[in-house]
Amino acid sequence: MESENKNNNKKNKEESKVKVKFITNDPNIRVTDTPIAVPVRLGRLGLSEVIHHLREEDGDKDTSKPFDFLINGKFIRTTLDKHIKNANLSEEQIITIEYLEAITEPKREKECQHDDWVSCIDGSNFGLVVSGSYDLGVRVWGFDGELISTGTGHLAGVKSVSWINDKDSENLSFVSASLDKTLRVWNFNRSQSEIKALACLKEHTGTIESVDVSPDSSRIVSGSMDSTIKLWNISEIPNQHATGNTTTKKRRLGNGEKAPQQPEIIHNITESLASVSVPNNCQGVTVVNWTTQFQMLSGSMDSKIRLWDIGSLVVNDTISTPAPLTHLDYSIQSGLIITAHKDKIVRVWDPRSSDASKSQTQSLISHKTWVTSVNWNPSSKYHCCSTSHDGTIKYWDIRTKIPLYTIDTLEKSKDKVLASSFVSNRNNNINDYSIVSGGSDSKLRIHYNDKQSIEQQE
Amino acid sequence: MNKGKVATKKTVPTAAVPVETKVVNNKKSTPIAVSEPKKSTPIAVSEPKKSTPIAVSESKKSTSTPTTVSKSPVSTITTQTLGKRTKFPVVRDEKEDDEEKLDFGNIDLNNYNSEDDEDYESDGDDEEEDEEEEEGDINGVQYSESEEEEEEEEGGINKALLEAEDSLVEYQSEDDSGSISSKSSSSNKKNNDEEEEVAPNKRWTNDPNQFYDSDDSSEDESLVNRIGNVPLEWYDDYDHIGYDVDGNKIMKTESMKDSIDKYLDQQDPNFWRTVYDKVNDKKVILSDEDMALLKSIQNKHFIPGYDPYADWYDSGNNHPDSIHPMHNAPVPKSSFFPNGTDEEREIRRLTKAIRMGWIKLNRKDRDGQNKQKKEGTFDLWADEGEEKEKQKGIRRISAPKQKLPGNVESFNPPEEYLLNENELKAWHLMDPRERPHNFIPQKYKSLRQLPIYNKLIKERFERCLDLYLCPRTTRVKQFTKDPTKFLPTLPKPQDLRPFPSHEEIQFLGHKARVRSISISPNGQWLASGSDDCTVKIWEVSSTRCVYSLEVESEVQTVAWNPNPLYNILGVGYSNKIIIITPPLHGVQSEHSAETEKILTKPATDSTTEQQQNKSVNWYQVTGADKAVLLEKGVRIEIHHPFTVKNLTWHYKGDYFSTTSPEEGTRSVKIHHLSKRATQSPFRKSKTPNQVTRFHPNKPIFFVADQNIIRVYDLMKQELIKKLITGCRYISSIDIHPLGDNVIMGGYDKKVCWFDLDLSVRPYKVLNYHKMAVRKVIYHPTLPLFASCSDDLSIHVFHGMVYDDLLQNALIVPLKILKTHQSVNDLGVLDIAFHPKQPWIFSSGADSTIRLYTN
Repeated sequence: MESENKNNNKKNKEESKVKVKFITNDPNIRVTDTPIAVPVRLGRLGLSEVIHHLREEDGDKDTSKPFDFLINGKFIRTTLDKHIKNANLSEEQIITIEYLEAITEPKREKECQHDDWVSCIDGSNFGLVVSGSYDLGVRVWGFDGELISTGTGHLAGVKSVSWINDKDSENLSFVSASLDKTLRVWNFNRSQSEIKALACLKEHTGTIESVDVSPDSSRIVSGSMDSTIKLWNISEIPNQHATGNTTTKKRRLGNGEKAPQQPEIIHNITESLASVSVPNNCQGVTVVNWTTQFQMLSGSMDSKIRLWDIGSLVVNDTISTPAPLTHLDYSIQSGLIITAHKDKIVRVWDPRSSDASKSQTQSLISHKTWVTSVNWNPSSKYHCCSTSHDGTIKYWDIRTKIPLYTIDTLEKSKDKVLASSFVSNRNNNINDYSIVSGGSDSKLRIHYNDKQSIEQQE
Repeated sequence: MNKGKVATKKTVPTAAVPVETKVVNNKKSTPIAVSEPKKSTPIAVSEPKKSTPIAVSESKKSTSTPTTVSKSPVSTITTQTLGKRTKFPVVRDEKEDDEEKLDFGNIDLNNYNSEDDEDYESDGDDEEEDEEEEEGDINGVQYSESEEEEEEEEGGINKALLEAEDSLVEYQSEDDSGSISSKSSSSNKKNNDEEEEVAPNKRWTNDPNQFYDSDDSSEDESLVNRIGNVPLEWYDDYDHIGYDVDGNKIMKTESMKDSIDKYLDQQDPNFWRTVYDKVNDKKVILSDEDMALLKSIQNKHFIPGYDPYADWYDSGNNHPDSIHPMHNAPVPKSSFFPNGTDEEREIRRLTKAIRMGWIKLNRKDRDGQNKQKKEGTFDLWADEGEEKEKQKGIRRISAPKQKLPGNVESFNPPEEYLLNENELKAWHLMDPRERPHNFIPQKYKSLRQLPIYNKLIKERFERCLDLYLCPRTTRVKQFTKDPTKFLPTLPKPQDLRPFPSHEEIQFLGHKARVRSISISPNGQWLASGSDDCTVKIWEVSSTRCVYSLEVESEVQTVAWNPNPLYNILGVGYSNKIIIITPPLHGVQSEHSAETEKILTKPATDSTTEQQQNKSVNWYQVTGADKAVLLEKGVRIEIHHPFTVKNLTWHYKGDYFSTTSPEEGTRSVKIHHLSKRATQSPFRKSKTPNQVTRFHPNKPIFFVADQNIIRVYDLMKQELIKKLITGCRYISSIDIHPLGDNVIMGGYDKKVCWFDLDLSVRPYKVLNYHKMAVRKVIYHPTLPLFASCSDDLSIHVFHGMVYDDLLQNALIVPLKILKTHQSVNDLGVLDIAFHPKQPWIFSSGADSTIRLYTN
């Protein structure tokens, strides 16, 4: 390394240099902020070496970490001079380069076998992952990949799952949506490690493609191929699994015979809190997502993102996209929407933009075919991951058009990745998330990022 | 003539006076002679102008009488001209020679004059001669002034001449009577003075007519002897020298004289100027004028009295005696220009042409050409090329040249061209158009014997008709370098987005060729039937196979019920139709009420249904033994007598139609699902029907047999239309969602678009596929249609149908999708459009189902 550095330095001595100042948000890797003259020929690697060199002076000996560099919020992907040229920066002034630890591909992954294709995952709660599969079951997995419990009761493949964000860490509940046109609310008792169905929500006339729980955990929204969006009130669902009689008088009791695998009597809720038909023949709602407590998003096959006001259930705004939507996610941190489309492209939208045509901020083109799911990294304003029918998972920083890394374990087997989610580290470090994915290989894969793997090894 | 003789005879005795004596005589008489001309000249100058042609003609007659005598002696032309020209100078002499008394003529004159005085008779002769000479004089003037061309015109006036001769005869008779003086006085004035006055008149008149006539008379004189151009030696032995105009012999006079007579002649004072006229055999005494002329010729002077620089004056308009002009208009300028000869006009034309640029001068070339021409060899066809170049505007082809006659056409053709009997018979049997030529060759001994060619006029007329009726303008072939110009202007495919453009995903799972696919009305499910005897249903968005049913034989057709309320799939395999309600939402999940309702067996209809159609049986799938099938959602089985190839749903979902071509005439059946009834509407169809379709919103039914599509009204139960496809074997038809257009695909590679409002024949025939077309479909919502073929390709077209009836459908080829693989020469077997998206699903012999998206 050092010899290389020297060589580089020797070479660069004859070349033009530019004064740069390195800054970073991470205190662990901070270096001096006095301007340094660096050769303009340097690229990412060269700059990383510069940082390593500076840090060696500070006594840090870990020189293996690569860094990523940003100038005014843009990643340096070419050499410094080209970037300066493209960004129309002046070489005379001191350039402030922000650097951060490069995000590298997860080295380790855990495979969790299902009986059939994994169609949906949610890992947003307590380091637990819930997955739905075409084998009709819903499963809860621990962060390490151990199967905690399996719940059955759906009559057809599960299309979507979502944790109901309870405060109670022992009695968790989640909702699943299925091809059998019903939603089911499940209770997961951590201590008992079992899943019990709480209620069955039946009103949709088509397969339910997507379900989401409001941030205050009071309502469930479901989007269906019958072009309707329905709101369900969680408070009507008993928190605890009730044996015998139900407590709700208003609701008609379901017949236990309908679900022979679930001997317990569960609530059959056949009336939603509110139901709205998506106008203009949307050809089926494929995704619903809460943004705030009062607003939600829906994406449909007619290539439109609609922003709904929950109170009046009217469409506040419509964003027309070029292709049918398969999935979308809203980032609370940045307020941006990321959408997955059937034209291979992942797009980033800013719903706050007044002009609908300008609301697209970024399009990320790397997938080879349909994108199935997109998810924001809950800890980041910029990072997100996407999955596709081409069998890859791509991790993006929306400031650059090139994915930070691609997980392509399924690409060769021609299996499809159908769902992905971020799962928090089990020690609940908020800023530390791993990607969970599932696909047509019938496996849930947890892609642990480096830190966790290191911790594991330790 | 006679007179001439007489005259000479008379003169002979008086002649032979020595020259010197004459001179003396002359001197005596000169004063008189001199004085007279002086008086006469002024008058003479003035008079000719006044004299009118009429007056002249009179003078002719009078003067012509003596001419014969005086002018005859000189036979040769030179002498004639001499004679003519002599007269002028003589006059001059008369005027001027007053002073020059030594001059010949004067002496002569004087002598002559004196003679006049002495011998009246002879004088009379002489006088006559003088007159003649004077008239000759006039001739001379006339000749000198009016150019010699007129001499040649004399021949034209022979008639007048003859008349003059007649008059001459009369005068002669008069002469014979002896009243010479009266004669002379009647015409001209008898006196010398007067004569001399008259003479100058004639001299100075410019009236040409006058001269002509006098001229004629002189001609007469030279033709006294009419023997022609015969050698005179021939007459040596005769007494006569020749014949006059009346055929009378002209007797020799001079040549018969003996030497004594000749000697005596020498005594004649005029002997020195007497010449011998050989032709007429007489002696002619040269007049003074002749002498003067001879003298001036000897001295190389102008003819005396001839003014080479005389003023020219217009003889035409300004007659000296006419006081007023005929009109007062000024003489036009153009009259001063010579009024263009042909040459001048040609020059004018050429100069104009050069000025206008019609002719380009290229001197070098012309010189070269001229040289070539001079060299003697020239290009016969050189001009033709130039002509072509010169032509502008429509370029016409010259009339085709007729074939030159060959040996057959000859009047004397070689033997091999003649027809023998057999050939002649064959000739008559032959159709006239087939004959090598339109006549029978015949042999004639000579060209003379060749009969009239009867067909000539007819043939010429026909050829004229041909030439006239056939426009022979050269049509310049316009070779366009860019072949794309021939293509119709169609909108660019890029502007017609969206349309399926590339393969997106595959649905894998079938193990044999997938014969039929169908997509559910909401576009979420895709059903497929395969030769591996399975029916599968796929979730489109995840490509997951959610349902699979195994049946007894190859699945021929699958079709989703188009009504979105129903969840019903019709499947045809071998001779069965099964109606499936696929448990897509779980085996135990309930189906929609509508689905259940329509599938519930009506209570009473079993008997009627059997009556309607015995060959088709409906079976409700019930019972424990069919539990597996029930679990798979199979609800009804319909048994047909023959293999069912096609299944089509009515748009409301209650009716469906099947075809089983093997059944022949009753291949088409319409099934009523809710009533469980089957009809076969066509009992007499001649050819087995292949495909059927329901109109998308009207009770109209389309039935295609192998090459005709029939359109029936189901309400009225009658045939509305018969679409003539021109296709040998129809494989598939589809009806446009608006119902007015039909596409048809055939196993003979054709795809035809019919506009039902337009014609029963194809509006467009698309011959793009290289192998049999398997399926053609319209997109339910977008203006797209597609065809698939065994050549592995799917052709996607833009097929826009306008509401405006006047506007024809717009068909634009958009995309060829070719990703399937060939198995056993089979390619793409079925295609289906997504109901809403611009996506097309295709199933192939390679057991894959592929989805192409935009």
